[in-house]
Amino acid sequence: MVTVRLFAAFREAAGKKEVNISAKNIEELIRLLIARYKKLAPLLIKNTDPLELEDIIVLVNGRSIWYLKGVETKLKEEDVVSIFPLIGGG
Amino acid sequence: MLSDKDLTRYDRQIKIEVFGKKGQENLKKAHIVIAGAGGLGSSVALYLTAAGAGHITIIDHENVELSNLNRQILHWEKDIGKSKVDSAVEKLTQLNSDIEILGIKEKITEENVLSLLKGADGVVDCLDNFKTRFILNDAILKLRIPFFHGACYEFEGRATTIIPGRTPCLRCIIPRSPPEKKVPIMGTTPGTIGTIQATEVIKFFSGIDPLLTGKLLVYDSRYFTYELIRIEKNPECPSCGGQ
Repeated sequence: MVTVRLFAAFREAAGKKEVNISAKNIEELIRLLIARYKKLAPLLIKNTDPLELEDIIVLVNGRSIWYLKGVETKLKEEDVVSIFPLIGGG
Repeated sequence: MLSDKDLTRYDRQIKIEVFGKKGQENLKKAHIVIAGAGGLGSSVALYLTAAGAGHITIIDHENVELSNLNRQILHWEKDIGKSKVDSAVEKLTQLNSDIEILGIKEKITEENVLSLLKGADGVVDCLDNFKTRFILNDAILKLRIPFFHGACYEFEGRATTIIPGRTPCLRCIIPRSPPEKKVPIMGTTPGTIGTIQATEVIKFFSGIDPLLTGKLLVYDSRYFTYELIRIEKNPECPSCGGQ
């Protein structure tokens, strides 16, 4: 199972800090996540088909998916996926 | 070299064993650029000035507006309409007249960034947009100086310390700029994050570990959580190439 760590507003929407999900890639993981926690959907995605993510940060073991394969980034059982809002105010 | 006045003024922090006179001397020698004199910049500048950072340059191109005053505590009602850097320098020099404080009213651009950072030993990111953050990120990589990142939204904050060659850079974790917009911010959030950035600056220049290097602090004051996320260099990063 992949460990998904949710932060800030995403944690509030899911009512969970950490979730374990079995998924082969980020797309499958996000789809399972929003099916399980419906309030996450508007926060995480812009479009369902094709899947387009909001301006959020998704790290697989500390590395941004945008430098891996985006939503097609493959996942292994022991991976830790951190998902949190991108914020920039000062 | 610390003066007798310095020894009295900074006595309470010099008494901290890991900081001591050496830490104070190193902080006195440091030239720190604070990019942005808003919410984060107010907190960072006040604490670095109070702590005795020897040379501070604060850069901002905006003027003070009424809607700034919920969080930008260096600016007061009387300053509305005045340039933020003038307002900041006025207060900071009254707080500590023994250090050098310079205000530059300019927008940071790709063209002027290297000249604005000339002589800087470190840069504190107190900006409100990623476009300018990326300009600074690329500049600090060229100059090989540390970059102390902070950002806020509502009750949430982020902070990390970037050291070229040692840690991921800002673009390793945030590859692209989100659309620019005025974001909601509770006034105390930049107060907390700015204080953390100032602490990182003090610790870096006085050689105190560990720092927020290779770690992103995710702070949420609504639910009272501080968490650290491990972040890694990205070989595909267009700014540092994972170096």
